[in-house]
Amino acid sequence: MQPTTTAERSFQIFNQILMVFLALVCLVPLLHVLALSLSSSASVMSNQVTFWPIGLNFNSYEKALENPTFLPALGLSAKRTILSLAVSLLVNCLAAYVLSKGGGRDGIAGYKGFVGFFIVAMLFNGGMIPTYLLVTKIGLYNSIWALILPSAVNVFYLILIMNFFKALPKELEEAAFMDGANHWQVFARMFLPLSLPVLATVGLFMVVNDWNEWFMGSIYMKGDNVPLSTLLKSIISVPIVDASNASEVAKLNNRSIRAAQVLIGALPILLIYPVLQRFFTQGIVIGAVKE
Amino acid sequence: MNTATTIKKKEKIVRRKDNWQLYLMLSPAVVLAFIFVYIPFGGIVMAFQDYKPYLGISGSKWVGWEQFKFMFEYPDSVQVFWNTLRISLLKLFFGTVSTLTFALLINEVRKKFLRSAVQTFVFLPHFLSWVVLGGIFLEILDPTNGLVNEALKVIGFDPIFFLGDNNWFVITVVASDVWKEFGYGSIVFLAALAGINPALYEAAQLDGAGRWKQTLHITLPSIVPTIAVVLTLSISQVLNVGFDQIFNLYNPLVYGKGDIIDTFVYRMGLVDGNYSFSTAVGLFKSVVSLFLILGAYRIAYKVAGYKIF
Repeated sequence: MQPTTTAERSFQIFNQILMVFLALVCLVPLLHVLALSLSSSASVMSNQVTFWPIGLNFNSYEKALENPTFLPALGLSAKRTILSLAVSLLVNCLAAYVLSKGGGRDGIAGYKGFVGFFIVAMLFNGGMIPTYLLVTKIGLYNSIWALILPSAVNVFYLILIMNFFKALPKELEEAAFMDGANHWQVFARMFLPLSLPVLATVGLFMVVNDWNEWFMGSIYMKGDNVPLSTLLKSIISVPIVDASNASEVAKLNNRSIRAAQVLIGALPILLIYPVLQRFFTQGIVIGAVKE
Repeated sequence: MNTATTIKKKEKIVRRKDNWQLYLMLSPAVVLAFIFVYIPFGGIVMAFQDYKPYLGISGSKWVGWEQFKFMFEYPDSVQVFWNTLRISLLKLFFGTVSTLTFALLINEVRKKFLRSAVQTFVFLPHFLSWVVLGGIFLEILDPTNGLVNEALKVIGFDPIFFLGDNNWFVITVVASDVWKEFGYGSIVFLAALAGINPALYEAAQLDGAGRWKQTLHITLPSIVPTIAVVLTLSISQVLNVGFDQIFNLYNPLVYGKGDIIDTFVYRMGLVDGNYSFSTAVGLFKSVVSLFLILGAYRIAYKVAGYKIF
């Protein structure tokens, strides 16, 4: 299907230019903020910076990290993301293993009931206020587990993993059972190693979600004991009083520092993005449904 | 399969001896879902009470439908329903059109390198949180120093207060959402496009159909089921307009058109402490969403055989 006519050739050229333009549109805001974060405060204040740093320096990053709440928040975010990944992956994989066996001879009685139970949990929730009251009532307030347990069961991921488990050849586990293996062994030594692609996909999505999640941090955590995303939220939402005095009052130049803080918040995502990219076609079935 | 299961049912299923362990394996998920999803369902009764934290659910006064009556009479809550619907429908329309157009156009790019390079960049915003993007947009849309307004000044326009003017706020919310999601959203359509039988195009070429005619008569009809599924599923989410986005971009100046159900519930409940009223508003939203979701799944199943379990 090579373009042959002039009309088609000019379409190809126009289309390629348009695509490059769209790619730039997606990149330009990030580049601008990156340039701001690396520029001297004088050049930022006089609005000289566009996409290339002027007066290159790393002062803003140093200042951002000097903020006494910043590093602990970064640490809490990292801890939360790793713990959440471990808990959530384990819980969902175990459930997926069981449900992948169906309700017949290999599975459990009440299979259909459990499926319904999880579907309802996927489609509905008790709402913001009742969930908030529950989490505080059971003593999770200001505990890292408040950021992990409420969202640990993710039925979309559960279904994705379950479908992958279902597609594994039955003969393998039958052979293992014949040799005297139990369910835990089949799960840990056979299903998990065979499912690395899907586990990587789901795991990466979990990492992105947990790192980016800020709302639970803002309602379940106290004071400065918040994950980085929540801290960033409070940093960026400087109240705008009205159009005229907004700039003078609010930003007597921490624009550059703010830019640095925002980019540090995005850094882990930017770092795993190349890996992530390899996996999203697999994850898309879920992603498309999810939002 | 069906006959086999019915026969088994008659016989009584003999399960493996150690299958009780399966319940053990399932229990963490069941317990967590029960605690964090099912128990809060019980909190819904608050919507019918005048809940006071020091009295608890058992001690608070029962008021029946009062909260709901108030909701429909209170101008602010009526306003947020319209705001939600307006932003949502605008997002639905512009989001679908831009995503589909982008998928069709990138699919025409024959240079492999260009294609994957472009995709790398347009997928990226999807993975950044609204906190980060909020920070970026507040910076570049700033009325006096922002990049966008600097550019407007250069070409001779007056600066625009994108996040401080009600109408501009709605436009900004829709545009930034389109910006964030058009790339990633196109993956579904690209997968559908890749599945089209190439023989169809060859036959059309033999018949002398140009690229435009091929798009019109082969490409579009082939992905109609995908479009239908994506559309119906988005319609089921019509009341979820993106709490994260609005919350990270809005401010009291734009509550008029920018405040949506979720942000309203948050402020009424967790900020102002009107637990009952805010639960009632949330419940109303959930019930409407429930019907939309059930309807959408039914349509998606009928149109394209789409099934989740």
